[in-house]
Amino acid sequence: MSAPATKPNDTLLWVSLIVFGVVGLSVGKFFRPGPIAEAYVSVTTEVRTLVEEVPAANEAAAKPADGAAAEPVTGSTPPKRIWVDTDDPAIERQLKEGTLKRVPDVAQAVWDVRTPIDNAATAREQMASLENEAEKLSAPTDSTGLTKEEFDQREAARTAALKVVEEKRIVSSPRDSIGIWVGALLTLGILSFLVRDNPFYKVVESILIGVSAAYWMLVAFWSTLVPDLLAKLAPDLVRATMLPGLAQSEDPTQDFLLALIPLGLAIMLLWRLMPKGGWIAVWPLAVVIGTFAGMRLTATIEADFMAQIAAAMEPMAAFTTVPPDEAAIAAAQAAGTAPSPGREFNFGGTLAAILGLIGVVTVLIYFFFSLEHKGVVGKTARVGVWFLMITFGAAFGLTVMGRMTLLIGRFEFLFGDWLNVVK
Amino acid sequence: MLQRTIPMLILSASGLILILAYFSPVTVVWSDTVVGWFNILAGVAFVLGAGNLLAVNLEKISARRPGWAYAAITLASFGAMLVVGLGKWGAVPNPSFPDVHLAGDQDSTQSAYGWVYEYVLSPLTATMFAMLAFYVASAAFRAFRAKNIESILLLGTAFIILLAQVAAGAFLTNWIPEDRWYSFVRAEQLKEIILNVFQTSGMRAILIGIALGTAATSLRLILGIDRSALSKG
Amino acid sequence: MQQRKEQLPPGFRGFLVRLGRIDRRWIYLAVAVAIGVPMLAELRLPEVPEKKARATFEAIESIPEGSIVLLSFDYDPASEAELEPMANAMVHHCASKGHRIVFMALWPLGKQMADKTIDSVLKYYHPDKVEGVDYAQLGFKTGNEGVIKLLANSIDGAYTTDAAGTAISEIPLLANVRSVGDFKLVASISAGYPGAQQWVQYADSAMPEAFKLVGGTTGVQSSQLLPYFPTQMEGMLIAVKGAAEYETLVTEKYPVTESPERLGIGRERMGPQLVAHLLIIALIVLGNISMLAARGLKGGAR
Repeated sequence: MSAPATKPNDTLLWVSLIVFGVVGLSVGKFFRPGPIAEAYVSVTTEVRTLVEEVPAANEAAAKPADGAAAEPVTGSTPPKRIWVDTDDPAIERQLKEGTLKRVPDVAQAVWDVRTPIDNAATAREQMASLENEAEKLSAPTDSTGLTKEEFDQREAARTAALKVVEEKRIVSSPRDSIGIWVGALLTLGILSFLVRDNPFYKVVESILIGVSAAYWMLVAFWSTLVPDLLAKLAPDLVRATMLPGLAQSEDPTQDFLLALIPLGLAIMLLWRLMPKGGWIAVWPLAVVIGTFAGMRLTATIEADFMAQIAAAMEPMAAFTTVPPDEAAIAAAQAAGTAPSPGREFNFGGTLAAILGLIGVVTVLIYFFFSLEHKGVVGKTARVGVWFLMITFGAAFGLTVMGRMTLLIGRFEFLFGDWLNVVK
Repeated sequence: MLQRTIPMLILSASGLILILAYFSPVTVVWSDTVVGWFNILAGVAFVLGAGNLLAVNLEKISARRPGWAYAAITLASFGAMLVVGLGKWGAVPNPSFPDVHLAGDQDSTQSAYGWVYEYVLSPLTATMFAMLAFYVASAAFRAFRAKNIESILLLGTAFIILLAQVAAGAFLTNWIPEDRWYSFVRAEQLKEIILNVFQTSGMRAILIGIALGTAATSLRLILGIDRSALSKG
Repeated sequence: MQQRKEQLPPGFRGFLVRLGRIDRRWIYLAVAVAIGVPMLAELRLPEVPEKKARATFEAIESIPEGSIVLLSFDYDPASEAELEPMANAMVHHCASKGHRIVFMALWPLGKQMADKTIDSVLKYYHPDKVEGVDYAQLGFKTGNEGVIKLLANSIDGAYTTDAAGTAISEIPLLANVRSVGDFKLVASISAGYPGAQQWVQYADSAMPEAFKLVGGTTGVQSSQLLPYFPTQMEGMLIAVKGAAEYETLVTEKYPVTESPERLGIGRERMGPQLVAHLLIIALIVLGNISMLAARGLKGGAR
């Protein structure tokens, strides 16, 4: 900020900011009274039970009949254990049939899942509709004209539906309300930089740097380093502690040996943090640069060079496909084929194609001719510059739209989520 | 040898494997292996970045450089985030494996990590970029001067796009019929022409230029002509 | 900034010259007002879909029902305001059409973006969709274009597990998906590098006929992507304007009754956008007028 802040000017600015803020918000609150920073979550309770597969009885009975040649089925492989939702009809059936049985002495896992509801009005609506539904479902039903069986069936369905509805709870969430306050203050902290650099901004900026560095590192750790590196080096440990769903590898030894290379490279790369032996980090860097260069070389030649030249050379005379005219239809009927659509010379399209080619060629001439920009080359290059100027002008227009949208997004957060004066 | 030649060979080998795989499907397995390492190293780079940040800020604090208190704030938020994120504090259990805590999902605001993401990281990053809206406006006022034919072309195009991208364009030019030879001056058609003819060809030429430049640089690196990339040590 | 006093011409001309040297913070305030007021007034405008948005819509419409599509969330909160509306509409579009969706991300925070859309659109409007069968969330992977490069040969080469830690081989949806070529459509909602451009370079170029590629792009990035349309990228949504147009197309064909605002964020943002654009135009005009007024003055406009 190089603005030469003169005192009176600053005061005026602050006064306008405050007046604008207070007036705007009072008007807003007048039309939309309601609490600030309210947040709701819908809570569902998940229950999982550990069950194990029971070998089918007929299978077990059939085994001895196969004769002594069949491998004896012993308890050498423990039955597969899985956590299931016992309310799932398929699981319920299996438990009844006895193909699954609950593992004794293992407590059920019970926890709440809180899903935020993005706007408070919706949340309140949903609260009301859930209440309604529950009321409707708990009302006694009429059994006239139904057999006992039909009635029972319906009752069972009703109870199940009621259970589902009652399990959905919508509650206000102080944790998220506090979060909205924090987010709003941090947002204002960044925006305060517009007035001038200040300690509040600096604090917020420091938080951003710290949090984002840690966040990115964690994302890389959990999403790549654990499943792609650690899981190959110590699959059983990773399966037991972090990634129980990890598939069994066909050849763990080979995986392990192959993973040693990236592990070594990773350690060498991290050597950069050491005060000495900086050259060690150059090896993994060589892999990175080499791979990158190799990938880029073929990709850009194909997608950005050849394909673009082909696209620039599209047929200069453009035709528009038009519905077949009467003569074509008559001819086609005579020949017994489908009428072929007609073509019409498209003046605008042709002009556009020619202009497009001129643009590509002239801009390239501007870029590439290391000759002095004089004479014909200079004139062509000048046309190229014009094309570039139009290109950049359009890019500027689109950039404005992009940047403004980002600010609109922040204002929506401040006015909507936090102050609750819009939507 | 260890410092220059071997890295050079590694670079060339990995680059050549990638190029070879483009022409011969047999070697795709090799190239995929190398790319797999590349992806892992990209992940390690995040760790390296965090480590660097740590080193810089620790140095700042220990030397009591100006602004060391801010460095302490950075470190504190870094540390706090790291602890909650590695331990998955408050993570929602994984429905298939509720008994393995670290298999849980910590991306919802229910967990500490998700909360920090939603209410600290996300608003901060978003606002940082939203500031550009103010700067772009200031630049429009100060730097966009119609001084010669080039800048007039730039300005004129920007004007048309700015109008045509919002309802103002339609409002100004909707009275022009849609199917006459002059209907191209309707804002939305003018915008299409600018984008599809002028901007596309301008950007296409730039793309072609960049592609040639990239290809040349890549080749120089792989063939060992340009060794500057590896000279750090 | 010069401190020396200079003689300003009197009257209107002097005012114009002084205007050109106004403290930039007044401009900032004007931007805030231009966006805040129409937002408080809830200004809404109709959208007429144009060619590129239609092409995107058609690309998703034209592939057979039940196709498996890949949506790559290549953005983060910094560009969320521009791209979330596209993502929401696209997910609703794909799900309504019966396509099965695989989510992934090339940006570290992209997985969070995808989660948000899954929660607010997929699970909300399409509660019958089952994870693993109708959709899958692969999450983020480091490596930028390296990830695409691997996906082009095999899914499980790039991803060991999905985001929740389920092995790829255990996901029914991916049983018949070997590589990117087995998707019918790939969409990159992209804010820069890595993004739609890399999808063109590394996936589309490797198998141009295998799938359709569409891109939702930010205003800043769209210029760079224009040359790829329509041969390499079948559809393109440019900035929030493209999002608003696409939303219109999607909700016309697949309307929702409850909370339609989740599929109208783009259109909502076009109101403040109008005023902001007019402000920028006014600023350019004023800046130039002031330059003209200051012409010939000592130390005049630069």
